[in-house]
Amino acid sequence: MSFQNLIAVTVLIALLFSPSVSVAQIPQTDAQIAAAKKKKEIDERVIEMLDASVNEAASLRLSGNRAVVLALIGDLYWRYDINRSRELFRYSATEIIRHNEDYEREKRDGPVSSNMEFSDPNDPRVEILSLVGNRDPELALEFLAPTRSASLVEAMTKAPVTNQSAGLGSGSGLGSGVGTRIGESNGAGNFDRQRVDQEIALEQRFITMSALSDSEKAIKTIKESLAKSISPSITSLLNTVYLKDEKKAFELSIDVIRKIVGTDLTKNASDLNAVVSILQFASRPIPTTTGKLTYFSYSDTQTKEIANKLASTFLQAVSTPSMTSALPRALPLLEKVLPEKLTLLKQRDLQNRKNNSASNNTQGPARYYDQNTPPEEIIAMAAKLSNERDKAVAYQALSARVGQITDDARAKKLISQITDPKIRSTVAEQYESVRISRLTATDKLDEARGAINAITDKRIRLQRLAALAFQFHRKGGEINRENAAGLMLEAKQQTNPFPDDEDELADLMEVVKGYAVVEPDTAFQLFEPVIYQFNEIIQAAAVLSKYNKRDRSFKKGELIMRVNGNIGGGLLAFRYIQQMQLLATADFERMSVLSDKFQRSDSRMIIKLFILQGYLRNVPVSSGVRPS
Amino acid sequence: MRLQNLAACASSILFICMFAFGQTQPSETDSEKDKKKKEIDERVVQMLDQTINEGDGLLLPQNRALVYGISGDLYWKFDAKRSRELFRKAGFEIIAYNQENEKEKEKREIADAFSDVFGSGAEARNEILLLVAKRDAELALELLLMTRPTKLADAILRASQPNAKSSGGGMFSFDFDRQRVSQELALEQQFAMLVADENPEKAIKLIKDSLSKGVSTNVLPLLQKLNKKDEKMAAELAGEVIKKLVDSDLAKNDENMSAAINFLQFAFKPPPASTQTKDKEFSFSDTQVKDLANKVANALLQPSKTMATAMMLNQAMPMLEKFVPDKVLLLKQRQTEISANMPSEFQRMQDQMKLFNPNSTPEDIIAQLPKLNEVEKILANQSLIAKIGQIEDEARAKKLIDQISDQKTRTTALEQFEAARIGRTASAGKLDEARNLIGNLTKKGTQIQRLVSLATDFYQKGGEKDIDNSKSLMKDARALTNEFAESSEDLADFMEVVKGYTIVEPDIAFGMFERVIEQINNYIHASAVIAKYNTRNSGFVHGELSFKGQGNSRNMPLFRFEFEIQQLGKADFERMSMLADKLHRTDSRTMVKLWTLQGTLSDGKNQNRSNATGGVNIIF
Repeated sequence: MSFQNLIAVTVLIALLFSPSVSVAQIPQTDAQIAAAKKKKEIDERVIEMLDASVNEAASLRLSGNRAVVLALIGDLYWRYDINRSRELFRYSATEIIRHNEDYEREKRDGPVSSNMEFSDPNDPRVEILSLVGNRDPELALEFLAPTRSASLVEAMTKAPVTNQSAGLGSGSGLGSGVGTRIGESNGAGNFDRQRVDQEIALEQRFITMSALSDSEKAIKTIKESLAKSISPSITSLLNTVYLKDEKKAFELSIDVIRKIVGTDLTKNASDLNAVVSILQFASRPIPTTTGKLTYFSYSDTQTKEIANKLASTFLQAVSTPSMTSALPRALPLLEKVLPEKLTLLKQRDLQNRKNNSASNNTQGPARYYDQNTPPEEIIAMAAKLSNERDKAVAYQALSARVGQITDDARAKKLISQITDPKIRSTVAEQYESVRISRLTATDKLDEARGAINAITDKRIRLQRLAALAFQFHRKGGEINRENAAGLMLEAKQQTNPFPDDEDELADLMEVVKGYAVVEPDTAFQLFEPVIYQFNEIIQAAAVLSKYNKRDRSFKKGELIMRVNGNIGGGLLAFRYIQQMQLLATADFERMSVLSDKFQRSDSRMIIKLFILQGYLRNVPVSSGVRPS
Repeated sequence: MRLQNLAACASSILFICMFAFGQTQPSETDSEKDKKKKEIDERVVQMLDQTINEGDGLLLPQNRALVYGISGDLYWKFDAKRSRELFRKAGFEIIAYNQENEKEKEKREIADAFSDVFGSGAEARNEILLLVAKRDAELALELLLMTRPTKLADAILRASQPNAKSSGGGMFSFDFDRQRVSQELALEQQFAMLVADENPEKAIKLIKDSLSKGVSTNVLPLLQKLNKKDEKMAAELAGEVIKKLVDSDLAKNDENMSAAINFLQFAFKPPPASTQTKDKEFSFSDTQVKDLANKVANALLQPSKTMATAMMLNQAMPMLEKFVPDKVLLLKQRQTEISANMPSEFQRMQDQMKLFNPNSTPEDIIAQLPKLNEVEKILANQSLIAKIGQIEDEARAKKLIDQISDQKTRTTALEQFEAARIGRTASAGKLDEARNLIGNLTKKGTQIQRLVSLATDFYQKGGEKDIDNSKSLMKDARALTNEFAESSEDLADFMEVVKGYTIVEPDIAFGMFERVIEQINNYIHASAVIAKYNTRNSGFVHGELSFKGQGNSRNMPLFRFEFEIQQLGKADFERMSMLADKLHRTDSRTMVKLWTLQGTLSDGKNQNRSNATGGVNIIF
């Protein structure tokens, strides 16, 4: 190294350690450390709150409420301590059993009119088990039988197992609807049958969820399922197998196709709908990374076999209502896979519609709300009605359908055909609102901004302004943030900070929602006074419930809690949990302090849990945080 | 002898004097009573005026209308002229309400054209007009026209067009306008019937005018009333009614078809068993019945596949079999044809309706039970409980109860039967036996009801021992209640006892009711808070308690205890007036004062609970 080089290195070292450079770097590190520290503190505070809630749960009067609270805490604890979480889930299951006993006893001792209550309206079981199932499907399966009420066990003993209910549920966990046998309705009054079907669907859902993480279990579940019926969730299971053993997955897929081809799809609506879903998956564009399939996929031949089976089913001599309803959904898929049969299938669809409208002459409103009825047909039907109310009902159905139309010209043509000017203006406004949402979602923010000015309905305008402000804010950048703030200010100016009725409160909470993201401090300022109104409402509802046997908000003077947030039977104060969760995400500590302003201990307890839920949903867990 | 006679005479004079002295005492009491009554009347008028003044300050025109309507009714015995003025004032408030209602509707529809698709606000109009009609039927008719909303007048005009038809689409649609027109015509014809008391000719003219707009089954009582005054006049009017129906197109007009079937049912029903009165019962002539039956049969034979036709055919069949036997074969073919096109649920629904048919026996229902699904079973059991409660034959009732498989239904049926038996025993004057039977009851609410009812029966007998018994029964009933009601059942039990004490020992009743006032205040305040944040709540409008609210608001303790408040007003007007002042809100206080006045001014004939019609309980 020459002297010059030596000087250069020395200068470089000196520069590196010079105060100016160090000053630039140290604050960044400090900020990170401080943020991590803060995060850790909050996590510790969260655990403290969860532990406090466990203690408070013991003071709840209703076993159903204790079950809900413990399950929610168990769910929130999962990220910190799985064992503790499972323990809490077990406590919750014990409380479900107590709740069942309480309910059965009350029903037994109640008046004859209580016989009309076929199921427990406050039963938290399915919601709690679903919550457990999302974390640990095996545990949910374990809880299933012991938490069944005596009446459900009795119904299950009496009811024969039907083919459709023994099949797999929807593996995605998105609903566990039980199909209806073609040509056979559930029959009014057959509530036990419905309960049994729902229970079996729940069980099947947990089985599928459990198999999704274990290829051996998935293979077993696929085989067992195919022995009974066809399920749309079979594809998810095939994927589980595929990730571990491609060959095995393709072998099983051959069995699946064999089952589809060999089943008479006209006999069971569930099977038919499942095959349409499978075709939907099979005909989707296949995503690949470096030439290798990243997800299980049916081969072209298999896809064609599924499509052929469906086409031959739809083209049979007699169309059942389920076939009539499934065909329009399957048509775009069949068009891709079997274009040569499209003309025939379209003719059949047209024929089905004609037959349907002929046989449904007397069904009035049901016909308007049928997704298969084109909006143009609803317009034509409405024009023939002389009863003003019937006409309004038809237009109301039309309004919902127009909102689904993405073709602006078609929607506007339909709206122009509405004869009543008031209804025409309402439908136009609703359509415009949906269109603005679409523009906002597709980032055409300036166009959306222009369209909002034309909206006359205050609520819709506020909603759209807040949604647009959120999108501008999300894009970032100074101008966008300024735009967001401007939009929120415009929205705020249209609200009453001290709402006098339900509508004004809804408007204000729409603005709080927007500000919670764009400018949290303003959101907190707007929200705080509302808590006093919430307290007033909750207390008033408690007084009224005392004198109303059928009340679903309170029982034995305690607020009825639900896992899904439908607290107090939809009591107004609890309709704004989303806003509270957003505020908690923005500033957890501040929202925690605000939650203490809820006067009643029952409402305070459940609000705190939902706030924690909202907060934890959006933040990663800190390392090294363990419960004390 | 003379001395003896003298002594006898003297004692007679003394006796007579004593008697005479004894007689002067009541005459003084009467005068005191008169004075007291006059004082109370003055106080009542004073309170009425005060309540009317308070009514002026109410926000809602429909509330003001009700206050003026009820006040007008109450003023009648003091000043009929002032009363009519108040009725007219009520009429103007109804008009104001109609206008406000239209404006609000317009405003709502501008914001959302679908906001009122299913809405039809509660109206005080009919209730007020009925009050007017009770006092002055002609004024009621005048106000009926004056206060008729424009839309209703238009609907009546449309309905009276020669080819008017229902615009509803059968089972799945409901023609609200048509329904309102029917109600309005029924009211009009009801008022015309009241006019008939004073002026039959005018009543006939009014009815004929009304018939041009449509036929209501309300015309039947009028025909019966007219028949008592002038058979010929009644027969002529009946002829016009039938002609109106025969000339209309029954296949297109459900209301006329329904009226026609009702008239056939009237003709089909055998005359009442007890025809002891001299008055001849009205009946349609054979030709009139035959014409009508032919018209109904022809309309039902027209091609139609609606469920409404199927139901009407089933309903009319027994009558048509009797009056037009020549058409039965065709009608039965039609019935089979329609049934074949009906969904299976329809047949099931028809079978289900049989369970609630008044003619079906408890034995019929028990026989049907195994074939029914869960819901039908519960409904059938409820019908069974009611029917068993009416059976007087203990052995038959108990045999039936033993056959009920559901334990809860069996217990309730037994309780109901026992309660009815206690009622019958008490009515037969066997009060001690009835008292013993109360021990068989297991439900607290039923025990309280029976104890209170028996206590008032004992009290009405009037003897010292009976009054003691009555008080002792009331004490037993009170011991079963929760003095600090925690639920609606507790409160209902408590108020049942208040009701009993109102007769037996009013002082205790007032003491108990004072406690309830605080609960009523709390409830109304809480309801007002909830209503503020619920746009669909009809219990409060613009923050004021609506006297004609619907749904849950009618269930609030204030409205549920209207009858008890009236009874307390009757027992002690001054004391109840003071209690009324303890209500915090002007709206509820005004209403309670009116009920108090209604109770005070009632003649005591109506000792039973009315159907909470805002104090209106009129029997025509």
